[in-house]
Amino acid sequence: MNGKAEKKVSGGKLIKVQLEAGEKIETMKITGDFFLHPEEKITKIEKKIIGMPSETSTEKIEQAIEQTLKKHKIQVLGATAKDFAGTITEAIKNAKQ
Amino acid sequence: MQSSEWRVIRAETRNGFENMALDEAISYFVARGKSPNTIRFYKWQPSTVTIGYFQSLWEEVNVQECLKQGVDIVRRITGGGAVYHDANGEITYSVIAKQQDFPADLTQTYRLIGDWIISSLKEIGLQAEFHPINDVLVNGKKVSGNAQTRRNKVMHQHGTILYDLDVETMFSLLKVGDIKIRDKIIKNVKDRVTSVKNECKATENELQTALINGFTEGKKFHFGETSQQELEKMEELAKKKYSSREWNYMR
Repeated sequence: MNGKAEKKVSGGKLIKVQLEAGEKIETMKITGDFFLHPEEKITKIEKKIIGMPSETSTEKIEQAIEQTLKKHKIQVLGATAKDFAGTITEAIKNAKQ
Repeated sequence: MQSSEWRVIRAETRNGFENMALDEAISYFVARGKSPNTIRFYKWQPSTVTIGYFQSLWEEVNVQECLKQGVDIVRRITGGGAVYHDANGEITYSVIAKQQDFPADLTQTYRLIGDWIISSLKEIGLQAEFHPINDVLVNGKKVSGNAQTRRNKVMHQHGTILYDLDVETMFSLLKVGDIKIRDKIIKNVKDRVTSVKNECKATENELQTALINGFTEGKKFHFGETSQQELEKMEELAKKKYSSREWNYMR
């Protein structure tokens, strides 16, 4: 099932998540007008989350993203791991409806 | 802090693919010590929409409308939002320099270059202020948006200074949500965004001069041109990367 969600982060940047989820998160794309460095590493975050069970808690998703940010020395301006996790969870919720 | 003299390239007009390609070409040669730290000013012909690295092209842009109006669409290597670069409405700058010559902190660098913009606007009688993360405001409204990337030990920041804003055209080209609340959104934008022309009587030439002064204040610099190497690299990148579907429709 397809799910979409978007979140306006305080300060003005927008995060959008589009995914396909059944029992697991099958595909996911994060878009938006935030800044992330190095830019190409956005795919590391996506790859980390893809394959996780759809039932995964927001906290666990947030943790996984934090881990990825640390591991790959990724810096984000205009959004936090929590913001991404919250938007992903909402997209999953929307995929079920 | 400065390890070399700045090269300043005065405003040149190119299409969007070439403008983005030239930024990358200059970065390429600065990384290899073959080009000096550079400040360049530029304009766009035809008018162009650029989108941030992380944006989805078809979600952000009315592709059909751009085609109809002869407006190009290009993805930037920098993050940030969708920008309408009006051929008659703005001046864009790029600062491309060795990373070691700028603060390690991204936000501090936005602020530093923001100060150059504020200084430029002061020269034409405008009181501007920096608004984190990456905006400069006049009377509480955005007059400049900026985006930065760091690759291969090169700091590259580019940004726009709005000279004249055509809100209606901008909204015909960018997808801004529900068409039913389009009028409300347009009014909202006019409350949040402004242009130099809207705020004072300075001409575009006066703005260009003020920008050169604001950006070079306190610096050792010379006026220069793009090198043959840079132009060749630009042609290659414009053709193979920036005008490719693969790049522009990446997300």
